[in-house]
Amino acid sequence: MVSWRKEKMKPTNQHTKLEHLGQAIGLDTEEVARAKRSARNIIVMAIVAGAFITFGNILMPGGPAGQYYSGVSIKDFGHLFSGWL
Amino acid sequence: MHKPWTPLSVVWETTLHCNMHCMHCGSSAGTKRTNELSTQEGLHLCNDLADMGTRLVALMGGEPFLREDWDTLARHIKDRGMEVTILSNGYLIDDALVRKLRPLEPYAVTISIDGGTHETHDAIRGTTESFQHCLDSLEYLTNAGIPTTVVTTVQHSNLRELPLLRDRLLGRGIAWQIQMAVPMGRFPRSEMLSPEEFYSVALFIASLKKTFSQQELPVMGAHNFGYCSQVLPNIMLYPWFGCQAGLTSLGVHSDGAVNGCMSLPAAFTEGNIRSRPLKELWQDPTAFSYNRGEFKDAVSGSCVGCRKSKRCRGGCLTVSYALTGAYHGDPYCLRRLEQQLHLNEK
Repeated sequence: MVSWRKEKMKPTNQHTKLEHLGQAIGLDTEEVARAKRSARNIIVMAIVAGAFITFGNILMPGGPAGQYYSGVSIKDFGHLFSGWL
Repeated sequence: MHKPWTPLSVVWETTLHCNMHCMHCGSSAGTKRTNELSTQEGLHLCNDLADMGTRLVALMGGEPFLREDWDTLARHIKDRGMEVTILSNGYLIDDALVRKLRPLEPYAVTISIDGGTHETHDAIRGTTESFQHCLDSLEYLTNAGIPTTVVTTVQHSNLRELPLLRDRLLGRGIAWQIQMAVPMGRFPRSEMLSPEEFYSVALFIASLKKTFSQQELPVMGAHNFGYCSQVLPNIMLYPWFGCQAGLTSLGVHSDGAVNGCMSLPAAFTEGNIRSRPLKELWQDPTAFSYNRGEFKDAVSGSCVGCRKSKRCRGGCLTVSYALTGAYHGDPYCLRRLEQQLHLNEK
C-alpha cells in the first residue's frame, strides 16, 4: 500500500522521469515539458470545479459526467469553460 | 430522506449481436441473446427514461446497427425529447445508413478505432478490413455534418500507435476519447497497460491538450484516466466528481437487466425491467448501495487516507473491482502513480 504521508525518498529528477515516460509513447522533450500543469491550469480548474458543484448538471445532456459514460461529443467541447482546461 | 437521483445519462446495450470479435470486449459480444428486448419493450423503456428525466441515451451493442429497428428506437428517443448517441464499430456505416442517421440529428456517432494501422486495429478487432471500414465511416459521417467521435481503447499492443492515430484525426473536427482496456470479458490481463504505460498515455493526452486547440484536436481521457494529478492538468473534459453509476448514470442490458454502469459486471445488477418497473428499480432505497448507501464513502486500498478521496471516491469502480475485487480503490490513479514513481518530487 502507498503511504500518503510525506516519505523520505531519494532525490529524484521529475523531468528526467517524465521524459522517459514520454519517450515510450513518442513524445519529445518539448512536448513533455508542455504537458505539465501550469499555475493557470490549477486556478482555472478550481474555478471550474466550483462552477460545476454549483450548477454542473444544467450545462449539458448527461450532466457533467455523462460524456465519460456515453461517449463524448464534439458538442461537449463547446460548453462553458471547456476551452480553458 | 435520500437525494432524488436522476439517470441523466443512460447507456443501452440494444443487442449483444456483433460482427466483430474484439480482444478487449468486456461484454464478450458476438451472438445475440435469445431473450433481447423487443421493439415494443424498447419503446416502453424509452418512455420510462423520458418520464424519469433522462437527457441522453447512448445506443451500443454488440453492434447497434445490426438491430433492424435501430432507427425506430433512435427516432422515439428524439421524439421524447432526449438526445441520442450511437456507439458503433463502424463496419456497417455507408452512404445509405448515413442518410437514415442524418435526420435523427444524433448528439454523436462514436466509432471505435484501436490502432493507427490496419494490422493492429484489425488484429484487436478480430476482423479483416475493419480499419478501412472505420476510416470510410469517418468520411461518410463528417461529410454529412454528423457530430463524430473516435473512441480508442488503449492496451499494451496499440499504445505506441496513438501518435499515428493523432495524425489521422488532427484538424478534422472529430472528437477523440481515449480509454484504458480493463481485464473483463474477453480481455486478457497480460495485455493491460502497466502503471508506467498508463502514465505515458496520460502524459500523451495532456501534451495534446496543451499543444492543439479544441478546434484542431478535441481530445479527452475517459472516466478511467485521472484523477487529481499533482503534475498534469486535468485530462478529462471536466473535473472528476466520483463514479456516477446509479447516481446520474444507468446501464440497461439487451435482456432488460439494469445496473449503474454498462462496464460493471453482473454482480452489480439491480434487477430486470421485465420483472420490475424501471422507476421502481431506480428509486429502491437499497439499490446502487455501492454509490448511494453504506459503501459510498468506503474507499479501499491505497485510496485510504488520500485527502482527495471524499471528492474522487476511489476513481473508476469498474477498474477498482476488476483489479482488486474491492469498491472505490482504483489503483490506476495518476495521483497514486505519481507517488509510486516519485514524479511528484522536483
